[in-house]
Amino acid sequence: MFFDSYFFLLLFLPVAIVGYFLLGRLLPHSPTNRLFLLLCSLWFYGSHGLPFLLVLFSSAVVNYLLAAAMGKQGRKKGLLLIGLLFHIGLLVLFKYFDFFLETFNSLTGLHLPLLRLIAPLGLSFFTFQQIAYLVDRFRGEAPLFAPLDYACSLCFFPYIMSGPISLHTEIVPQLRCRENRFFQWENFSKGLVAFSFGMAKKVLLADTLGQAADWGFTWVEGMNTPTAFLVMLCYTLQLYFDFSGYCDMATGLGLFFNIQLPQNFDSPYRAFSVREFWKRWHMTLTRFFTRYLYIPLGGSRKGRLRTYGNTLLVFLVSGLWHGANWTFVLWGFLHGLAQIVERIFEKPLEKLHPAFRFLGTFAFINLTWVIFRAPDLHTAFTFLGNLFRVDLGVIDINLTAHFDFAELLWLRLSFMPTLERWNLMLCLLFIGFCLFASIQLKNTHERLAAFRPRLPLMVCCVLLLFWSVLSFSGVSGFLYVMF
Amino acid sequence: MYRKFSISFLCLFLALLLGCGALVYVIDPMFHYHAPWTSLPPVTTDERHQVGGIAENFDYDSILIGTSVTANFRASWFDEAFSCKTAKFTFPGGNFGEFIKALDMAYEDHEIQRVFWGLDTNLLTAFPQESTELLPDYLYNDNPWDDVEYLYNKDVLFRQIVSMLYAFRWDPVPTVDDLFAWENRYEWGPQAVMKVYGRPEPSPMMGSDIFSAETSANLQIILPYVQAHPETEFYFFIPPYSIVFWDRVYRRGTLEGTLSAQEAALQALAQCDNVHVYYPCAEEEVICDLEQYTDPIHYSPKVNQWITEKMASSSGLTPQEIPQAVEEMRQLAWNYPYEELFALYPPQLPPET
Repeated sequence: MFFDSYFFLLLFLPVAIVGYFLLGRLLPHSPTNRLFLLLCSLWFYGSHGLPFLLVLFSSAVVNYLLAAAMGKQGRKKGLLLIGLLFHIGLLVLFKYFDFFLETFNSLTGLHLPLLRLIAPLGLSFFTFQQIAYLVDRFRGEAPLFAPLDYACSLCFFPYIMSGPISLHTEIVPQLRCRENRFFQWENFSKGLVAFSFGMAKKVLLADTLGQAADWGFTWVEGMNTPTAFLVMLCYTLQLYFDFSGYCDMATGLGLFFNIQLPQNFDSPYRAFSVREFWKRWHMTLTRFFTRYLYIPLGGSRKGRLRTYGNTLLVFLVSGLWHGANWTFVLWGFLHGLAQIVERIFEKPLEKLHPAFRFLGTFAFINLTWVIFRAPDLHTAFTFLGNLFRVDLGVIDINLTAHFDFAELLWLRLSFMPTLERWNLMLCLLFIGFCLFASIQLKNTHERLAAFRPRLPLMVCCVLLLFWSVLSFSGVSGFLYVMF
Repeated sequence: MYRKFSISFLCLFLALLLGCGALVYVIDPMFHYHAPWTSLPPVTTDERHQVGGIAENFDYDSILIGTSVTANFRASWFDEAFSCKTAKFTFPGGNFGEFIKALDMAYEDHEIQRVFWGLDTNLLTAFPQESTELLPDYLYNDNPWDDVEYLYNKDVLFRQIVSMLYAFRWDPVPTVDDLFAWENRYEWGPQAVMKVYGRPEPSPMMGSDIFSAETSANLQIILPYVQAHPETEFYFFIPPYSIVFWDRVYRRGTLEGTLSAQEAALQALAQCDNVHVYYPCAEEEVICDLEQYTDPIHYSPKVNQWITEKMASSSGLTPQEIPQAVEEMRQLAWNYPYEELFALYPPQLPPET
C-alpha cells in the first residue's frame, strides 16, 4: 500500500482519520487514539511484507531499551556505542553487505556467496530517526518517552517509508498535546491542499517524467546529445517532483492528524550554489548529518583542512546512505568536492552574475544526477559522453512517445497532427512546464504559509487529486523508499 | 471558513468520483458490466481488456478463439455458416493460459455448442506458456472492490471513451462484429512481407521429432479440456501461414519437425468424438499469394473468409486423411521455387543467423 493507491486513499485514510478522532473524543483521557494510530501505521507498513515489520519491531525495541537504560549515569557512552553498532550493523547487513562482498570478490577474484537480503522499505529513514533519538538521549536533550508514544512517533505512516526524517522530540509532544486530540478544520483543509499538490506532483508529473527517464537510462548506447539532454532533465525533474511530492503528501497527512512535520524541500533548483542546494534539498537529511556527524567531527571549528575533510566525509556517507553502489559514492564525493571548491573560491564566485551562478549550479546538479541515476559507472560515463560529444541528431521518438497523454487524445483526434510531431511538442512543453514549476512556482510550504480557504484553490486541489486518482492504474513506485 | 473549504472539497471530490464511475459503468467500453447499451462504436483494439467482459456478459452459444491470425474473422460469418451466435476471444500473441481462462469464464454462464479454435503452428512448436499476467485481473475476477481500477482509470476515460466518441468519423464506423480486427492498420502485399523478413542461413534438415516434446505438452492442455466438454463440438484449424514462413522453417532445418508437430496435433485431436480438424495450409493458391499477407504469418480477412467457408462446407479431416493433407504441404514446402520469389521481392532484413 502506497499513498498513490485506491486502497490507501479511499479506505485506509478515511478509516484512520475517523477512528483516530472518534477515539480521541470518546476516550479523551486514555491513549487509545495513539494506539489506534500505531496499529494503522503498522498495517500500512506491514502491507509491504510481514518480515519488514519484524525488522522494524526489533530495531525499535532495542533502541528503546538502550534509550531507557541511558537514564542511569555512567553507562551512557557504552550504550550509545552498542546502539550505533546495532543500527549501523542492520544497515550494513541489509543494504551494504553484498556491495562490500562483491567489491571484495572482484578485487580478490574470489566467489564468496552473497546474502541477497531484501532491505525493509524505509530502513535508512527509521534507522536514522532512531540514531537521532539515541544520540539526543545521550546528550540529555531528549526525555524518555512512553513506549507507546515512542512507537507511534517512529512508525507514523506518513513518513516511515520516505521521511522527512523527523525527530521524536518534535513529534511526540504534538502527539501528546491535548488540543491535537480533536479534529481541527484548519489543519485538515491545509492538509487537503498539501496532499493534493503532493499527489499531483508525484502522479501527474514525476511518473510521466520517470517513464521517459527509465527509457533513457536503459538505451544509453548511441543516444544523441539532444535526446540525452532531455533525458537528463527528465530525471532531474522526476526526482524532485517524486520526492518532494511524497513529502508534501506526508505533510498533508501529518496535518490531518494535527502533526506538523519538518519541511524537507524548499525549491532546491532555485539554488545559486551547491551549498545552498543542500539547504533546500532533503533538508531533514542535511539536518541529521549536520547535527549527528558534521558537528561531532568538529564541523568548521578546527581549521580549513579539517572543515574540508569533514565536508567530504559527510557527503561520502550521504552518497552511501542513498545506495550501495559506486555511483552513489562518486555522486556524494562530487557534491562534497563542489562545496569545498565553493568555500575556497567563495569571493570570486560571489562576484559572478547570479545568472551564471544559478546556471552553473543547476548544470552541476543535473550532471551529478546522471551519475546518481545510472545503474553503474560505465553507463554513467557513456551517458555523460553522449552529452558532451555534440551529436546533434533529432530527438528520439521513443523518448517523446512517453508524452502521448491520454488526457489530450481528443485534441490530437480533432487536429490530426502526425503522432511524432504531436509527441515532440508535448514533450518539450511538458519538460518546460516542469522546469518552470520547480523553479518559479510557489512550493507547497509557501502555499501553506499563504493559505486562505478560497473557492478557486479548493476546485484546483479537487481537480488535481481527482486527476491523480484517475492516473493510479499502472503508475510507478516512490523512488525514495529504496533508500 | 476552513470547515466550508474542507466540506466543499470532500463533496466535490465525491461527486466527481460518482459521476466518473457512473459514466464508465454506462458506457462500459470493456463490457465488464454489460453488453453495449449505447449505439456508440465500440473500442476494437483492446482484446485483453475486453475478452473477460465479452465472455461474461455477451449472449452467445459459440466461441471463436485464437491469436492475432484469428482476429480478422468476423463472428457474423460463423453465425451465418453454422446458424449459431458467436463470441470472439482472440489474444494477440496469446497463450494457452489465456485461452483456457477465457473459455472457463464462458462455460460458467453459457452453454457452449461450438468452439472454433485457431491452433497456431508457432504455439504447437513451443512449450506452452500459461501465464495470464497480461490480463488485467480486475476485469477477470469476481472481486467488486478492485473495479475501482476500471471505474477510475485515465485510459478508460480519456482514451477509450474518447475513441468511441470519435469513431463516428472513421470509415467504416466499427461495429461489435469488427472487434479486434486489425486489417486496416497494416500494409499488405509482398513488399510488406519482405519488410519484416530476414532469410535464415541454410541449416541441415533436423529430425522430424524435434518438436515432439513441445507438441505433446500442448496437447496435454488441450485434450483434457476438449474431453471435459463432450457437449461442445470443437473445430480446430491450423492457420495457413504464408510460403515465406515455410521458407524460414526449411532454411532453419525445422521443416520436418514442424510438419510432424502439425500432424501429431491433428491426429491426437481427431481421435476425440467431439472434434473436427481442418488443415487449410497446403492450399498453394492461398499461401503463395503474398498479396493476402502482411508478414510471413498474418493473412488478410479474405483468407479468414475462405477458411470459414471451408469449415462450414465439410466436417473436417478424418484420421486417415490427415497424413495425405500434411504430405501435400510437405511437397509444396520442399519443392517451391523460393529463389524466384526472393529474386522478385528481396527480404529487407539482414539474414537471420
